[in-house]
Amino acid sequence: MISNMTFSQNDSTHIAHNILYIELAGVGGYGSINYERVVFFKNKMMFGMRCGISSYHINDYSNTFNPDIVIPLSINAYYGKNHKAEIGVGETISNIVHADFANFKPKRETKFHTIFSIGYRYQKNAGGIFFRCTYTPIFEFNKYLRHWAGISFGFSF
Amino acid sequence: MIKKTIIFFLIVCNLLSCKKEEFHISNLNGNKITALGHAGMGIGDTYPMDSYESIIKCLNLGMDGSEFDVQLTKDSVLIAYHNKDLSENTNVKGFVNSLNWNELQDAFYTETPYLNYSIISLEQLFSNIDNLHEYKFTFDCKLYTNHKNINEFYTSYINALINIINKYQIKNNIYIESQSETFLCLLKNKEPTYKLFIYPESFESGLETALSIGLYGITISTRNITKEQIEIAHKSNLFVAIWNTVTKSDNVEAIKKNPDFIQTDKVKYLLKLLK
Repeated sequence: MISNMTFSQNDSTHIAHNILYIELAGVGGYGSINYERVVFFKNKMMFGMRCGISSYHINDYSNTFNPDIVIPLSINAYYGKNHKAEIGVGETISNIVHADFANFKPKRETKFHTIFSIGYRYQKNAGGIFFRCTYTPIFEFNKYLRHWAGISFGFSF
Repeated sequence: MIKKTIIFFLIVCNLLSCKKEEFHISNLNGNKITALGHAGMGIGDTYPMDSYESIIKCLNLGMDGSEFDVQLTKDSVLIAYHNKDLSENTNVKGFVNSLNWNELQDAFYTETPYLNYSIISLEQLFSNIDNLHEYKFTFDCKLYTNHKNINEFYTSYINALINIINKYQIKNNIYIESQSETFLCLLKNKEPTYKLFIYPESFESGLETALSIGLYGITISTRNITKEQIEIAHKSNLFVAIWNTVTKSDNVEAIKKNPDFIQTDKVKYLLKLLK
């Protein structure tokens, strides 16, 4: 579906539309695995949609398999040839297990957090090694601002 | 031939890596080391220190118990919390002792993105531990306060401690440590059978204080005590609890010193070594 959403004014230009990368810290919390799809490009301008996944604990505090799930979703715009400036906005969905203070049993709770990113990325249009470095402020629970940052490594293809 | 050599080498490496280190422990604790978590799962874990989740996870992994920090609210509720000011790692500001418990009910730790674990009272903790009497707990009494009359504050703190210990009948499972000699003296006078530990800057000062007040033992960083000094403490009938075992090798070195208790930051690793 995402591939059908890819638009370009110059289809003859070869563009690597897919990016797989690991982000240390950043909008996934302490780290995340991410896929990004370039959905629009025109000259030096590109737009990508990113989806990631992360976790803090696989087993909960009662030592039962019950993983925390953190899913960062964002739309990124980047400008440049190989060295690009990036800006992005999105939402992280967290689904975290903690003690329910009503009965002190593990309880899973879903929360939403608005995320931003601004920074630099190295991404060749033809594909290859991918690197980015971003300042990623997070509006946790859409209430508290946390200054945060991330570094990403991966490849585009 | 080369293939066989590589396989042999891999098998030898595997066997060596599986070899469990053996320790010959000699201490006052029945030649066993009581394995405690440092504020639950320790410094650096994604569960915040002293949180319910951290302490319960530590117990569920098979530790003998846990150390945790204890502070007193303005309305005399004991809570598990480490820092001097709440603003350092929660969404609330001020000293614990300047706030009532109901002002902390909605407080949560802010150390890690997307996580909002709550602060817990000792009442909440102890009323929700299954088989409570099977575990050992060390209270690290943090005496931060703006109270003008420090002795009055100590008295309130001590009364709250006695109340919770009596309520859950856990006197034999509790060790109490503090850096304050005055506080320990007051507590010792009121409850002479409590197991009290001084938490000194140096071994020498700790030994002197423990002997002069008649304490149960000394709690000290593993970096500030040697095996020989632990032997000296044991000869004086003083138990020794060591903390600051942050790395795997810290834990191994700590065990070799023959302490009676280790409060570890590497819970799983200490379990692997001792159990």
